[in-house]
Amino acid sequence: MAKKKGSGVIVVKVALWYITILSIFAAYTNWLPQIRGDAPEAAEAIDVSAITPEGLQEMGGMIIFGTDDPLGTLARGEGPIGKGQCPLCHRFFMEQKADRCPNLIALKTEPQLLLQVSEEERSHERVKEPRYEEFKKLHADGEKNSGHVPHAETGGQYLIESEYCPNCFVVEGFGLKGTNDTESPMPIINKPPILLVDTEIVAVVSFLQMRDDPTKWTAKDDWEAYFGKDLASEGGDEAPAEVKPAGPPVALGSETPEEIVTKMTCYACHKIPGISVAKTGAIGPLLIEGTNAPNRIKSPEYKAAMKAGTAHATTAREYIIESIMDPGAFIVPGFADDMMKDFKHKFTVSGLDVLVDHLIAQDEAAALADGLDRLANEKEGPIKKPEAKVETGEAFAKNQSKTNEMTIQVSNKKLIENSTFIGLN
Amino acid sequence: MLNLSGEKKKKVGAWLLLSMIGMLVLLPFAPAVVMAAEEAAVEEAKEPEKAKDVFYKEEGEFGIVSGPPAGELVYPDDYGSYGDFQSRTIIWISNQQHLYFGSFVLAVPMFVWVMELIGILQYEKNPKVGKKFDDLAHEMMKISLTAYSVTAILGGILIFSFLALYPGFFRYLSGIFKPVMHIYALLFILESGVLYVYYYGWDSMNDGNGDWKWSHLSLGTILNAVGIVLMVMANTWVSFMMSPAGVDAEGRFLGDIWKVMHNPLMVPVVVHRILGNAAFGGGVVAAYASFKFLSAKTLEEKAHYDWMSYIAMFMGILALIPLPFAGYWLMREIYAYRQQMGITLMGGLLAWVFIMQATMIATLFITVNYYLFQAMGRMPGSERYYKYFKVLLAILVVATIAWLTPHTLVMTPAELKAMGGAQHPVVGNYGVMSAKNTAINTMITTTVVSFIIYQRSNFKLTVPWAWKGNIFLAMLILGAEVNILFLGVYGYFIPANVRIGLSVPQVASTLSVLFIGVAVNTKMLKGAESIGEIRWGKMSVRGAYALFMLAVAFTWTMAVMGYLRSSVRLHWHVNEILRDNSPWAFTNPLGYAGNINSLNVLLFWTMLLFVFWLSALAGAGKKKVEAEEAAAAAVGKAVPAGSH
Repeated sequence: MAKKKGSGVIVVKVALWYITILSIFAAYTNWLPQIRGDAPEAAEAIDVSAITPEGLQEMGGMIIFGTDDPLGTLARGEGPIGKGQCPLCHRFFMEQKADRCPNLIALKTEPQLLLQVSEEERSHERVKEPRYEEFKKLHADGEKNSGHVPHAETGGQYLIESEYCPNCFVVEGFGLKGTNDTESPMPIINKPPILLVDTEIVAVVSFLQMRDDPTKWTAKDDWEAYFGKDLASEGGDEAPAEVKPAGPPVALGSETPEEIVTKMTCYACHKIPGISVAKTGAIGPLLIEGTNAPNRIKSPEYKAAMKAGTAHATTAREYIIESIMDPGAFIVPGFADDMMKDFKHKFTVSGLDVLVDHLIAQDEAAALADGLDRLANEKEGPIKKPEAKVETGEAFAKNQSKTNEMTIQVSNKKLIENSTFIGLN
Repeated sequence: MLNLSGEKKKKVGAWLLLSMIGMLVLLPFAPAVVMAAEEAAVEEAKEPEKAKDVFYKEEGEFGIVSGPPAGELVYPDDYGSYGDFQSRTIIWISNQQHLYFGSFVLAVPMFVWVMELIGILQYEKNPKVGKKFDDLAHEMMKISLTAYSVTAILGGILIFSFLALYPGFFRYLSGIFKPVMHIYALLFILESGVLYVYYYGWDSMNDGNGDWKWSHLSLGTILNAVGIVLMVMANTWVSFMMSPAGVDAEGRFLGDIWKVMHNPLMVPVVVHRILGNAAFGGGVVAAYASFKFLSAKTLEEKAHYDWMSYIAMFMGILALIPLPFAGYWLMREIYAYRQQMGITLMGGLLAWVFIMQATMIATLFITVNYYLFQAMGRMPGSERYYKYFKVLLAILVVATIAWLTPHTLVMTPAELKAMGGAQHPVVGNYGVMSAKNTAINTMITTTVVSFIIYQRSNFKLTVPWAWKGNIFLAMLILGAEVNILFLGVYGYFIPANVRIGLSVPQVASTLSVLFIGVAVNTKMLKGAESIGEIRWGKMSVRGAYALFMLAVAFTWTMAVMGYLRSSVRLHWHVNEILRDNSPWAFTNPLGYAGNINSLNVLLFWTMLLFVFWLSALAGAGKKKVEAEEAAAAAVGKAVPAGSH
């Protein structure tokens, strides 16, 4: 009996010792930060036309960080990791430790950083590097994992290409060990395990492009130029029905330029050829961007704005987008900075496309055909040359007396008397 | 029946037995041959569709599609549940229990084999010592035998759990591994057959160090070989889930089962598992012996179990020391396979689990050192070295603190603001890999030093080159530690991709101390004058409780690393191939994992206690019968001799 009792006491003591140790271990794990890793939502076909570029940027941020407050998450000692898992390797903030892949720190948030170029700017340089040509040769028959042949022409296309085909160009010093920087450690983003869909990749690139400068957004155009097809056609045979976002009026891709101009009330300030309601606006310049935009980006005033870091466009299309999304980036000489600043919240990607396509197609001839001309304070001067005044003066005088308005309906054969028109304004 | 009288008959019998076992070994491969013939016939019948392997490149990049795609699992059709309880937790517990017992019954025969071999080799020199080791091996085997049945029962429970709760996943995985499923089952039968012959033939085949004994040891070799093959096969399923190969992007089997099994993480996971099993097995046997030591009533019994616990602990530590290096290798292979998988482990979602792992490893090393210090209490002459314990303990504590320092700290917003970030300007520097590598290498080196001291504590060196040897040892240990520290500091000044390479020379320094240091020390002890015999059975009670701590820490570490390995697949059943579409696809927070781990460990030790009790019951019964027989024999003898 005594022996049994002795063993029993030892069993109890050992059991208590075990329970104490196990309780300490369990308590310790409960004291450490508790992070639950939720499975990412299955990717759904997203109607890109129903989202504003700013919305795409936000979406890209969520894909990258999984939170709208990545810095706050970092400060709590957690890693802001979204379904894209980008911050595992790329460094987005100074507070973050990640140096396995090129850093993607925003200049705005980290002005003290020695690196004086943004990822968006750097992306343009990548495709110009001689190494890019070497990669083109290396993968001339298609890169083995993705099947892509490197063919990016712009920075935006390069960013798109990097997601679908990380091996199409590997930044020096960031290749897999032993591959002489010809193989990237980055997974193909549209394949498992990341498995982003096309629109999500466009959203990520939008985030990168707009992070430092909201006017630098070209992601959708880059995607379409890179793949040579319409982004909206992805996600199956049936394109998803366009969703009308709630809230303030938003320009949609399904609308005509006339409807967009009406909805956004552009006509209140601008005259636009081809838009029936926009014939009287006299606060902003005549919108013939096929003529204006290429000249404006070459102008010394625009170059000064670029130097000052406010303007960034290098193409006509970029200039128009910049003017809509960030009207303060460059003020056309002779005008005040009084254009509304909230259009970036109101244009869907496809809606913006519709309007930009229309504006870039308008030139002096179209304006003349529509009986429109520049305002007096536009530096470029009237489209209708002064010598034409004699020939058309009668017609103008007739119209002027009839309507006493700033808009003139003219027949195809008649021209506007510019000097008189300007004088009325 | 066996007739052991003739020497020739014994040899013939031994060879016949080995031949039978050999044929049994080949038996599992028969279905594979039949299947290969069937597959060849099918291949000839139609034009095969070829697809690209998700892992293999260049040669062997394409394979013949030989199975259906993984498809999409749908909840609830492809999943089962019991009310609101997480089905995954049920699988988790049944898997962990099966794994614990499986590891135990695979690890113990490894020890037993070594002990039996030592027993045979010692027999000629000193039959008493030889028998001591042989008895120890036999006793260990007895525990393992009962645990074997529990392992099989738990395996059955695990399969039923899969069928009931994850039928879609199980269907896919069993479809992929179909060519080897029955080989696994047949090997299991073979393992059982060999095990029973090995255990029940122990006494009848024991002729000291003769042919029968060697044949018995050969059976042990086969038992271990089959056990390791079984473990490798089970591991291939797990490593396939982490890093699939031999299938195409849709998860279709490409006809070559070896490619499926030989997936990118298979070898490092297997190596890590074997070492882990050995360390775990050592811990469990040490705990068993400690329990018996504490409850022993005679000094003889105490001495036996004190010695047994030391041997088991020693074997466990032998496996533990290379384990961190196997871990580094596994992690390196994980990074090579998928970088984001490595970073999810080390710097992402699961990074905090490594703090817990670090705690466990630190606990293990400190406990081992503490045990050695306690164990020196039974070594006459060890008092000379007591003064060094404080220094060794201080080094261990400093290394542990560096080892446990997290990269970022958990703080309130006010604390965060006061400190200027989540990373402390000074302490934060110890949260990086350079500091961690330095800390763990220092801890291992310190443990080796403790062991060197333990080895020589009851001896007085007599070799003429003793002073030179001591200087050499001191230089070796000091040089290694300086190198470890220097590389640790240097790591702060170089980029990550270069820094990772520094772990190799650091590890080399540690291994030099381990192998060269222990070898030189052993050589120096040759012919050394004994200050006094080891007083087995005189170890302190605290030493025994340290071994319980060691055993719990081993089991808990296994559990936490299992959680880590499984969680790194995130929301995939089979990484990148078969997505987890159940409501439990999320990764549980560390606290939940800690609670389940503690529950698992408690459950395991409770069941193990039952196993110990069962084996003690059998032992008690045997002793009783022997005592009665002895009494009867004594009475029988006494009557003719005494009364007449």
